[in-house]
Amino acid sequence: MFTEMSRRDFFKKAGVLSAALALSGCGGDRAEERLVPFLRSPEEELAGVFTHYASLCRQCPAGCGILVATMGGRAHKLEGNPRHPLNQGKLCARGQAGLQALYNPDRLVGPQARAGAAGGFQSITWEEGLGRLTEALSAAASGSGSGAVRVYGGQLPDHTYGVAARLLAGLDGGVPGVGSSENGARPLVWNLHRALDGAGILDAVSREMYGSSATGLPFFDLASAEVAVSFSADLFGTWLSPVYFGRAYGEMRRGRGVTRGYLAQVEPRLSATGVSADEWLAVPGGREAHVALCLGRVILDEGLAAGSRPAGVDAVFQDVDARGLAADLGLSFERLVRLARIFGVSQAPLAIPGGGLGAAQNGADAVRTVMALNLLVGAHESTLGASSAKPADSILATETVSSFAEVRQAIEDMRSGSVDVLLVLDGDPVHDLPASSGFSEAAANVGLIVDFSPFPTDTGETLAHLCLPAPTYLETWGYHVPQPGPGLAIVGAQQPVVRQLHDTRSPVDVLLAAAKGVGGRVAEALPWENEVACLKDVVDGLRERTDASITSGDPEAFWMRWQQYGGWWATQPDADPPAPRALRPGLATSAAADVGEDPVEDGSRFLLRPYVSLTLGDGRHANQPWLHETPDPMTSVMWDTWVEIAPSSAERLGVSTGDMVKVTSSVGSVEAPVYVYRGIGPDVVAMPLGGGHRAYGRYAAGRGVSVGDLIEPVVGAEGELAWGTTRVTLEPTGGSKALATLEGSESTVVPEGL
Amino acid sequence: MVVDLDVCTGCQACAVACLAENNVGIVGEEEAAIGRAQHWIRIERYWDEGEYPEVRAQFLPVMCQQCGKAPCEPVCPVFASVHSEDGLNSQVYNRCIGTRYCAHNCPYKARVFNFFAPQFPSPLEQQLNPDVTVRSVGIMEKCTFCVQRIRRAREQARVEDRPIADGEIMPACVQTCPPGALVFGDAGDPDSQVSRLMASRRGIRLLEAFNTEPSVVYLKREGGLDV
Repeated sequence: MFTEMSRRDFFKKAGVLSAALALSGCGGDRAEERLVPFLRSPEEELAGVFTHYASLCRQCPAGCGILVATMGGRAHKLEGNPRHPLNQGKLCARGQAGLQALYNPDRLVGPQARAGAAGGFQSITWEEGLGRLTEALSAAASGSGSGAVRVYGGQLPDHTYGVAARLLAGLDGGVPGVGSSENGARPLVWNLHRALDGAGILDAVSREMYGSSATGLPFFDLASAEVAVSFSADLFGTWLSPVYFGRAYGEMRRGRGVTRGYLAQVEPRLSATGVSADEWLAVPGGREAHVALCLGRVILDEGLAAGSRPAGVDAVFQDVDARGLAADLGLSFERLVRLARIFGVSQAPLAIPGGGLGAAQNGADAVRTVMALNLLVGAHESTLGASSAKPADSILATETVSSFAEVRQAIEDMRSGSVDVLLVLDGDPVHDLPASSGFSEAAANVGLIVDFSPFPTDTGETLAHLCLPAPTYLETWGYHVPQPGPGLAIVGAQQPVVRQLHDTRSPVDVLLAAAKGVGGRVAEALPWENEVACLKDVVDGLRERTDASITSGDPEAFWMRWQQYGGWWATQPDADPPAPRALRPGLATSAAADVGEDPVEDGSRFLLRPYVSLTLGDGRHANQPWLHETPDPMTSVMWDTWVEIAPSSAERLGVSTGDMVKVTSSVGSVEAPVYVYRGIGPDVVAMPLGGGHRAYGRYAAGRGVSVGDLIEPVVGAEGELAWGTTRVTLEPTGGSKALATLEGSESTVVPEGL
Repeated sequence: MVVDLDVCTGCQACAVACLAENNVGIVGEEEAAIGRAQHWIRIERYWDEGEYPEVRAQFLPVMCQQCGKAPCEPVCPVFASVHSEDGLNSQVYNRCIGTRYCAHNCPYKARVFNFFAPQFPSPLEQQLNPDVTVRSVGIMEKCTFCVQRIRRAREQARVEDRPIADGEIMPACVQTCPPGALVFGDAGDPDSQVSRLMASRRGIRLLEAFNTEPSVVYLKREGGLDV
C-alpha cells in the first residue's frame, strides 16, 4: 500500500494507516496482517535514515512533545520536539527512558482472566474480555448507575479522562458532554506522586483565586523571573513539569536582559533544585509558608509592595510577627530581610508554591499564603498567570486530580460492598496509594476489578479479575493539554509511532466498545466509533481558532498537520486572562498546628519526609532498567531505596551508610539501608518513593521498599493527605549492604578551581 | 564542549540520553556497587564545607574530556585508544584487547569496561541505536562525543555542499539538556558559540595541572547577587 505513494501524500497516508491500525483494535480485523513486506521500500523509509514522528511523552503527567526516531518500524531514540512550546526540544531522564516502557520484556502480551477465586491467569480473547466488561457495566447501568462503578488512574491522558468521565455520566443517565453528574463519581486521579506534587491543592486554590473562568493550573513564568523563591518545589527534578522549569531556568540564569536571575529555595531537605539555587533556606517540613509570611511582612513594612494589588492582600501579612517567626524557624531575620528586599523591589518576582507545602494539614492555606505573596509584589502582572478557558469547546473534561478525601470515600464504598466494578485505567493503586488507606482489603469486596496496565502491576497480579492490557503511549493515540502550560493554549498530539507489539487495545477503544454494548444513555454519552473518531471530533473544534500554529479549512488536512507537528498551540498568550483576587488564608503560625507535636527530643523518633524519586517517580518507572541504574543526583544511589539521615543522628544511632535499619511508623515498617545525608536536619529522615513492588516485572519486583507502607492516612484541613506528618522510629538491624553508588568516598573537597 | 555549571541542575537527563543513544549496557545492582556501572557521562555531587542548615553542594557532569594530550593513548599496546584526525580521542573497539591500562591512566575516570557481555532481554534489543556498535565482553568504552552524529552531520553537509553550521551537531546529552548547560561546537571556529563561551572569565578545565589539555571547558557558577 505504500509503493505508489508520493512524498506529498506521506502524512495523509501515514494518518490513514495509523487509523486503520487503531480501527483494528475494535473490529478484530488486524490491518497489520495485510501489510505487504518491504520488497520495495516505501518512499519515506530509506535504509539507514531515521524517520521522525512527533508525539507526546506520557512518562509523567507533564505532557512534553517528543520526536521519535524510527527506522525499519522500530523506535530507537526519543528526543524533545523543538516546536512544542512546553519543552522546546528538551527531555528529562524519565522521558528519555520511554523506549523501555515500549520494549519492556515483562509486558502483558494479551488479555487474561483469573481462573477461579485465587487462581492464576488464563489467556482469553478480546471478545471474552469485552463481554465480561460489558456485562458488568450493563448490570450497573440498570442498577445503581455510576455508584457501582469506580474508575481509577494515577495519570490519565486527557481524552481517556474525558471518555471515562462521560462513561460515568452515562451510567447515571447523564447528559452527554457533561463530565460528571450531580451525584455521580468522577474518575479518581490520585497517587502519592500527585499528592507530593500538591497538584490537587494548587488546582483548588487556583480556582478560588481566578474563579470559574480559569482552567487548569496557573502558569509560572520562571524564564522571565528576576528573583524567584521556590517553596519546596523540586522544580528541575519532579515537580509538575520539570523539563519546562529546567528550560526556563536556563533562560532565567542567562538573563533575558542583563540580569542573571536569582533563585532561593525554601525546604526541609536539600533537593537537587536546592543545590541549583543561589540561596537555600532550611525550614521544618510543612512550615515553608511561614517564610512567605515573614517576607510579606518585611515587604509591607519597608513599603516595597507593588502599587496595584488586589484588595485584602495586605491583611494576610499585617499581623505577622516576622522577627519572632524567623527565630522560631531557625532563620536569621537579617537574611530574610535581605531576601525580602531583593524580592520586593524586583520588577519580575515569582513565588512558587511547591508540593512540599502539602506536607502538613494546612496545605491549602500554605499555598494561599504563597499566592498572596505573589499578589503583594505584583507577580500577577509579570510572571504568574492563568489560562482563561479551554482552547476549544470540543475539548473533553480535562484531567483533574482528586482529593485524598474522595479516594478515601471510594475505598470506603468498596469496603462496604457497594462498588461492583473497578476500572484501573492506569497506574497501580496497590503500590501507589499508602498501604494504610486500606485499598487492597477494600478491593476484595469489589465484584469485578479490571486492570488496563500494559504491565503486570501489583494491582493486576494481586487483585484484578480481568486484565485488558493497553498499548504503551508510543503505540497509541491521544491528546493532552499540559498543566501547567507555558502560558499558551496547547493541545499536544499523541500518535502511534510503531506497530503495536502485543495483542493490546487502547482503554478508550475498550470503553467505547463496552458502552456500545451496554446501549441506552451510556452509548449516547459515548457516540464515537473508536478512539480516532473521538480525537478527530476534538481536534476539529480547534479549527475555529485563527491565532494558532496550524490552521486549515480542511478537517483532514488539519488533523494531519496536528499529528505532523505534534500538536496545536496558540501563537499568542490569552488576550484577556482572568484576574486574580486575594484569598484569606487562615495560616496558623504555631508549629503544632502544622505537623502536630514536636518530635520527641530523645532522638528516637523522626519526622518522615517522603519525596518523589527523580528516576523512578512514584514507582511507575521501576520497570525501566536505564532509570534504575541512573544515580540519584544527591546520593548517587542506584537500584535501591534508602533512608537519609543526618550525620549527627547516624552517629547517635551508631549507623553509617549501608547499615540496615528497621523504620517503623504507627501503620507499618520496612527495612532499608541508611544513607548518611548532610542536607537534612537531625530530627528528620527522608526516603524516596519508587521501590517496593511485589510484581511489575523482573526489574521492579522485590527491589527496594515502598515508603507508602509507612505513611499514615492523615487527612488535612481540606481533604488532602497530610503526607509529611508521619513519625517513625529507627532501629539498626545489625545487617548492612553495599549500596550501589557512584562516589568512592564522601568527598567534601570541591575540585580545584571550581 | 562547554559545561555551564551555573545552569546545570543535576537532573540526569544527559545520563539517560547517553544510555539510549550509545547502547550502553546495564550491569545491575551488584556490579554497580563495585564500581562497574557503565555510564559514559555521570553527574558528580560535591559537598561544600558547612554543616546543616548552612550546607551547600554542587554538581559536576563528567564525561571523556577528549584530551589533547590524552594519558589513555600512550599506554594502549594495540592502538585501540588513538587520536583521530579531527582531534577526537577515539576508541577502536575491534582493536581493544581489554588490558584496561587506559582506564587506569585516565584521571577523569571516564572509561568503563565490559566485564560481562551486555544483556538486552527480548524485546529490549529493539531499542538499540543502529548507528552504534554494541560492545562485547572484554572491551573498553567511553564517551565519543556521539561520533555517529558528527559523521551524519558531516555527510549531510557534504551532500548539500555546504559547511557544517554552528550548533548543527548535537551529542545526545547536549540535545536533551533542559537548561542548556551543555554546548557543543567547533572550538577552532572563533565565531562559534562554544568559542565565545570558552573565552569566559568563568572557564576552567578539570585537573589542568596534569597537562592533559582537555577539550571540555567548565564555566564556574556565578556567585549570585554578591558578584
